[in-house]
Amino acid sequence: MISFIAIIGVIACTITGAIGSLFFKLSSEKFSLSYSGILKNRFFFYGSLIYLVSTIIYLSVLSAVELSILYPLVSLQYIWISILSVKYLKEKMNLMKWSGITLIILGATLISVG
Amino acid sequence: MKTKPIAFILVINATLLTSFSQILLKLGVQKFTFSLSMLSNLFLITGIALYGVAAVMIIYALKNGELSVLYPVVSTSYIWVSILALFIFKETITIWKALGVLSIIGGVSLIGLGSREGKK
Repeated sequence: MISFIAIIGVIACTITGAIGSLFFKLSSEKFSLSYSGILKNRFFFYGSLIYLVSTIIYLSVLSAVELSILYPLVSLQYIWISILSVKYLKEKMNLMKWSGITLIILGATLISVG
Repeated sequence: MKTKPIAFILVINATLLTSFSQILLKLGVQKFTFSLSMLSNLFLITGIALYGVAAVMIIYALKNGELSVLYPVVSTSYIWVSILALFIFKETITIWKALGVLSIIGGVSLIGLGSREGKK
């Protein structure tokens, strides 16, 4: 039986993961393999923190959710990323990109269920 | 920002690395006997190290491309993990898995194509 809490956990982990990725993208401009590029990079610091939270949630729910449910739910993060990119990064979505995302979610579902 | 081909290449390679490291971590976390516990530590350490390298590669990729275009490429990890599982854990390929892989390849391709729109 898949617990409702575990599903909420997976969705929370995808949302935090998407936010973490957004921060990493914002950190990339000033990022370099140096003291100032990593340790003084605010976006990198907060991005890592958020991503860490996402990973902790993920590992916690991993044992409670079947892969056939997990993979498709996790692939929802591509939707969150697209929305966040449009809102905060001035990126543009179009029909092709949304179709691509749909195919990815479908593919992830097929792989995990098949 | 236009997404450069080098960015795609970096993300695909980084994703391959993370797939390897996921397998390593899976192996490292299993309960080994006392004599093999050193080995499982090596798996864990290498797995984490590979993750770190992959993360750096992805950030460098993001310097040269859009998030909404590059991040979906990470979904190819489903493909790599399926292939690795085939060889290492001897899992079987089903028609559904094959269709799923094709669907993901199609999806990533569409996103790549879609990222070229509007640059007229």
